[in-house]
Amino acid sequence: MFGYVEANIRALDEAQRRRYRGAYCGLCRSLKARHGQLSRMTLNYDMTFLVLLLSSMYEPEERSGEGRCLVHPLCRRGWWANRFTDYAADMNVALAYYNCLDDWMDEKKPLSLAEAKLLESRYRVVAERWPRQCAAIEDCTARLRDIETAADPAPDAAADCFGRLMGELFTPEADPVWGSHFRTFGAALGRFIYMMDACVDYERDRKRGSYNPLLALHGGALTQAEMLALLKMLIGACTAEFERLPLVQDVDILRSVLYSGVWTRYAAKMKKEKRDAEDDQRSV
Amino acid sequence: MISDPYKVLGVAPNASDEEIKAAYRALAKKYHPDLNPGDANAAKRMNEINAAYDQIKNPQPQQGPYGGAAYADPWSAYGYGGGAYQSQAEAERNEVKAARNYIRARQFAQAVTALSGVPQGERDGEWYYLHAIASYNLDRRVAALDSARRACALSPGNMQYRQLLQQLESGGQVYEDMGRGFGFQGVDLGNGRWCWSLCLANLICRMFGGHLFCC
Repeated sequence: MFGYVEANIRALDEAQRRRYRGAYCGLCRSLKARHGQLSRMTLNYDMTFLVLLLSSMYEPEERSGEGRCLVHPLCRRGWWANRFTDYAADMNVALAYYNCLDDWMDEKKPLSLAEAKLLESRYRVVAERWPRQCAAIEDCTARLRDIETAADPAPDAAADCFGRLMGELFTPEADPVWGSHFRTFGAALGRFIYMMDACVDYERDRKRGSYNPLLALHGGALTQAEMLALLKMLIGACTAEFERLPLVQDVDILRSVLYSGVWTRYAAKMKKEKRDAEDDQRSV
Repeated sequence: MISDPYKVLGVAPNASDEEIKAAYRALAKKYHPDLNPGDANAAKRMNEINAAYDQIKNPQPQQGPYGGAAYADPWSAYGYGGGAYQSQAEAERNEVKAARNYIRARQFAQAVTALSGVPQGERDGEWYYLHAIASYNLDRRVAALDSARRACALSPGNMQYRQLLQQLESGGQVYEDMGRGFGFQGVDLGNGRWCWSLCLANLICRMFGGHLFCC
């Protein structure tokens, strides 16, 4: 479910790329400072988007600098961070912790359990700091498990559940004017991500007989065109909310995520599937 | 309701989206209560600015930026009562009649419950149409879209069903148009359906986090 919310780097100019990567490096540094070297392994671009979005809305004071790190030992890289970077680092740890637990329960991967154990103490700290968000993650993960094992799962139930989780994540602080908009936006993005993930795993789940919310649709024979229309409807609800927000700073980078980057993994997967299908046909 | 929200924000009525947002931000920086603690006038002004922005960005359906279509309530047109329809309705199952009444009364959860009483094999276009409407109003968009598609597949000639499906998919169309307006290339799925660009170099970049080869 993670790693879909990334920018289309090729749609950005040099200054925008620096800005985007600077947010990513800032997040990585914040992870190390707050949760130790190991927590950096959990880093992904999803939370970079959250940093850019919240920073654009509230324009908080930024700290910035340049430096080398383990991943980039040769060149100095610019970074910037603010209070939302620290918030996103905390959320990154919480999500990674639950993701590992989930992998362990689903697929019994020993590595996932080991990683969860390593993150556990850091998660406790985060949960104390952000009780509302962590309660939402805990609650939604448990509910998702129930929905996924239910006999007749409604197609929207699981996506809504993940949407609620994201809605909470996208509202770090109380804001009587914009809070509800951010919650709506986060929920719409969450629904889209959940369904996109379901589209990506559709063939695999169908063959294995695993849970997939889309298998209940169209008698389990959803075409690619139908999936695409469904996904566009969901991301359309998300960007409609986004365009209502009074965002100016970094808005081009944010749009490159929502209008382009979010499709990167999906497109790669669909192309591969098509290639594989053609290869199969040729071999027959 | 503010009579002229554009005036409150200090922009022309034909100002661009970007200009409106920039104007809002400039005013918010000046009048935000956090920056003017204890200043009742600033708080009042900020409220006006928020209301003006909201009025421009969240217009009533008839003033919608897309000619109202994208925001129009597809179900407001849900007024039956036509003679032709009534005669068809007589042959209908009671569950479907009940669901229609629940929808009229805006009791959508009950409508879905009533519909679920019809066995799978007896669900016709009208069943899926009503199911789509009730689902949408319960914010179950995936189910709504699926049911609208099935209604159209079962009764391809029904314009009402087709219109519903189009309205459900209109958000995706607006999204695509806006994305193109911002200069984004779409998704190449390898079958040319929504074919914009994505190249191998990009994938390779991604595999290495896009920054290992920075220097």
